Amino acid sequence: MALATVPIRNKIRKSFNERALTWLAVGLFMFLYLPIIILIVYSFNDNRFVSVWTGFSTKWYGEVFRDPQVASAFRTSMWLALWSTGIATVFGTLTAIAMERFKFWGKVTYDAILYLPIIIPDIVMALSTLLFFIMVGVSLSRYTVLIAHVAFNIAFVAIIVRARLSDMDSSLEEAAADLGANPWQTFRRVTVPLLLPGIVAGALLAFTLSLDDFVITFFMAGPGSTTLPVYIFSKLRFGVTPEVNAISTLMFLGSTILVIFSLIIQRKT
Amino acid sequence: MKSAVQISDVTKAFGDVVAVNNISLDIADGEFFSMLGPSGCGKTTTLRLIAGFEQPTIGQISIMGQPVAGVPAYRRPVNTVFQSYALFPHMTVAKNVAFGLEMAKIPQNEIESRTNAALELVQMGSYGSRRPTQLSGGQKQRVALARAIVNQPRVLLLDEPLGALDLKLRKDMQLELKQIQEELGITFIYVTHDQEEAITMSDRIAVMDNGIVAQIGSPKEIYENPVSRFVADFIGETNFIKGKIDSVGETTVLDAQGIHLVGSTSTELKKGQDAVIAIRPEKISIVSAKDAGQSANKSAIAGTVSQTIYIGTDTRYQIELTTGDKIFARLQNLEAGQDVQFNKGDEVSVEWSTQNAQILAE
Repeated sequence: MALATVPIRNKIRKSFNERALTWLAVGLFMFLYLPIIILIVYSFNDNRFVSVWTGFSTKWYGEVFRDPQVASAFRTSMWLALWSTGIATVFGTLTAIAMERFKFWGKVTYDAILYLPIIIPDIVMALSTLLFFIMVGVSLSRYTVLIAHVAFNIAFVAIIVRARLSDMDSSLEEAAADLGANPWQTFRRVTVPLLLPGIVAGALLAFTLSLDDFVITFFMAGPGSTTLPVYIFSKLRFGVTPEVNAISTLMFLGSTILVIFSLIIQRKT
Repeated sequence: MKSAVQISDVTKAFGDVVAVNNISLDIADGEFFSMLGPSGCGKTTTLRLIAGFEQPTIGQISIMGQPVAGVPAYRRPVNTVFQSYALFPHMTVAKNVAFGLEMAKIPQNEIESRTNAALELVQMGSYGSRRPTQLSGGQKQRVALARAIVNQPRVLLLDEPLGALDLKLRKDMQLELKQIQEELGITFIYVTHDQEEAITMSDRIAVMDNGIVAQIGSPKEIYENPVSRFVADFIGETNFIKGKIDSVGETTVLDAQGIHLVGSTSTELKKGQDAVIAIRPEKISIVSAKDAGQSANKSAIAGTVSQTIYIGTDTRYQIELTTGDKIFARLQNLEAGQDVQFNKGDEVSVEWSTQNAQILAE
């Protein structure tokens, strides 16, 4: 008798656990995404005041696209994202190859600290970079922002490319050499094509991170380096307007698309 | 005969681990040469030293008479068939095969014809546009072979190329590889841990153990006249009976607990030294105890049949000798429906001719 009842009770308990966990998950998703959904919904609000819904309108999007300050901030953001991604992708990939393929003095230490920019708080990174620039006497400009973006992006690119590299059969490179390819030809014809999904995924992530960064950019910002997040922040001083909602929605959309691309590329291969 | 590859006093150490310990090999042009041994014996390292993926710590390697010290892998006139095949997953089969020719800057139309010919040779002519991921293990194997031989190397290095294939396919590929080797006339240096594979394919075999070459010789020499207990044990099945050397001369006599066993020997042995006599199971004859008799060129030792195992072509008999050793003998089942010749518990005498037994240092 006892033997027969135990499985039944387990079954009941399991289904209760299952239901409880499902609801917890749903609750968490609500907690995470409800504010974003509200933001998106109110970006289509006809009313000047964010909290009062009066009707559907896309006029704020029109306003965003006509606003010369938004256009300028968008151009700055793109300039920063493109350059920091490009530079970080090249150096991050080379770093990953060096870390994975070669042995050198201090490698273990370097290995550990390479990932530090991911762990340390943005504010610490921002403050330390700012102090460094002040110390060496470099005046802040969009180039100092660029340098700071490159710095954290390299770590992300290096990690993603390295994961890809460690999955790669090193006998493929030996096979290329065996077939007469010199080191450069091996790199170009075999290593890079096989790493490409990792490199592209790393670049997309770097691009997103650069577009989204506020703290580091804000600290480093000199003349002419107002990016979209910095612009949004400055607008907030005059209260939340539907226009801010619209810009934020557009940024959310852009970032999401980039991250999804990055994930698809990493998973597909 | 011209040498394809000469390895002179080569040692390769990785840190404290000596993978290859002062070996010398002279591999003739056009030869099918196998390096055989258990894993960790240094056979793959030796192959990688020839390919140029590793540099010897000490010693010199010459390929076609040219010393290759400091010559990188991509400038050596050898090609490799990798154990993992190492086909480029981002290229089609045809592109994989054409890779070496493109690197050598061969004109495009010649690349095409040679690629097709190589794929044709390995019976993969219609697979040129496939991706390596769409091929079976055996097909990948063929493509890897085509990709190596299309460059017409003087020496082809093969690292356990059939290791991942199932038994039937492996047997077919053994014959095919041998045929291709004879057809193209290039030197094959073949690494394997499968003694049967080495014996069936090779002109000569180097049996390796612990970084050294234990014996070099034709498959027959190695099977019939092993120079050490390791070789006798590694190649095929062997019975060992322990004893002490009683006398050396034209034939060597081993004293196994008072029983004198005669055998031939190819190594230096001293009177009183611990030694073993090695006899292959198929070279032992079994007679009933009552018919037993020792003669000048024959050893005999009494025992009891402790097990009989029918294995189709043969029947294996396990015999417990009066010395306490257990040995196996195999008798061929020549007639259908014949009964086993001996039964469990039968008192027998096992006998062998002097030339069929080797006395080896313990």
